[in-house]
Amino acid sequence: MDFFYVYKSLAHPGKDGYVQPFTLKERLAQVAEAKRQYDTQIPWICDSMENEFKHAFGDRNNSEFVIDPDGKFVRVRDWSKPDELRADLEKLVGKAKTFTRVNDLDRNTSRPDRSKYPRGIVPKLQVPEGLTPVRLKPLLDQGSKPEPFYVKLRAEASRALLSGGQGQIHLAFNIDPLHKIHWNNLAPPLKYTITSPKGIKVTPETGEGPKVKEEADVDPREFLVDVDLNGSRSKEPLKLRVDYFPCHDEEGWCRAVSQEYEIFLETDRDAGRVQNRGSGGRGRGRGRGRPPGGGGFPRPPGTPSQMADRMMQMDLNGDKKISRSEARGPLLERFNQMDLNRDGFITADEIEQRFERFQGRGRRRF
Amino acid sequence: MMKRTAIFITATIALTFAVNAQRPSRGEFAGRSSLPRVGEVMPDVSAFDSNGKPFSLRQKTKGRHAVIVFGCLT
Repeated sequence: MDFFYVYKSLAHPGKDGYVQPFTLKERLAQVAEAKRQYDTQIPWICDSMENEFKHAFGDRNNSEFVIDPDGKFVRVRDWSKPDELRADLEKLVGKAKTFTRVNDLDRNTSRPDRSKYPRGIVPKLQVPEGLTPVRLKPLLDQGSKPEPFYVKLRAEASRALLSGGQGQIHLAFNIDPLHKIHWNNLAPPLKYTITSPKGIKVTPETGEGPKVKEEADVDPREFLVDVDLNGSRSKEPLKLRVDYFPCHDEEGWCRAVSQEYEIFLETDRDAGRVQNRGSGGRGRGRGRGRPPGGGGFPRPPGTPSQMADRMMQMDLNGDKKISRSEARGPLLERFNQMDLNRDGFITADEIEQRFERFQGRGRRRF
Repeated sequence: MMKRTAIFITATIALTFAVNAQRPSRGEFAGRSSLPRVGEVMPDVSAFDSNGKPFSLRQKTKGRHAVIVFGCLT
């Protein structure tokens, strides 16, 4: 019996400061970080940058599969359930001689480096509801000495823009923590410039980040731009150039960096979903419509991700999961229902999934 | 003609049931689409090991049971 983890694109970019990688080298660096944090002996497979594995196996965040010796699927789950998996394996190959649980293993798990987290020095931008991530192409090989994208753009478009041709794009320039840089606030702030295809109007075409008093920080730089396609059906991308000044303290450098992107006004199914944006908005895209109003199935206040963020405040020891002893109130009362994989802990993903199902029931029923 | 139509409709319904019977329960799949089905052969897609070398899961697991779990840092 062989076990494999498949490392896929990030489910919730921004969580713990991590951002979607642009290159295989960067994704492999995230695999190394995951191995370090989880201290597992199970081999990790890294999905390609085209996300071939994720697509072929059904686009889920934490799915689980058992394959028989002929290479056929014998168990398929959209969410990993260790206890059910154990029962499956006992049926398929017999009981294990030694019964081992996760807690029996002497794992040296570690946590992400919170010193590199955004700290809210630059206030978060209030963004419109229902943003959908759009496909980006970072122009990676430009110049004689291409540099890593220390700062990575995430672009999300409003539904009005994608369906009606008039709306907004949210541009978020996030520092990639794996490159260990910070903004050099003694230098001019980040500046973007957008060049649009003929007939398409972008306002403003250029923008500059805020001037920050602290000498250094790692907070995202965000912008909202209005886009009017003016009836154009052009598939040509918007071109964006960004200029910024990062510093790498360990390597002892600060310098000017200029990089370019193409932004396509089409949904990126692999971009993941940003949590805790603080907009008060509902979930982003992916069919998360608002349940019909007016006396329907009672739904919890806020989005599943907001519920998860709120409840994760019960995580007193900061290990990103809530134990039974940390749980309080309704979460404690429904601990077993919320602990979907029955590992004795509730994670943000489990809370989200539970509330997503809850809200989904509401939509179906009414 | 009527008899042939009836046989066709019966066969279509039977086939639909047979296909749906292979789908795991709604509880497992949360009602979403595109997961592989039980009985399908695992797709042979390209990936990499943690050192960045090309990796074929199909080759690696040939003749053995395997468990595959998806995940990421977030």
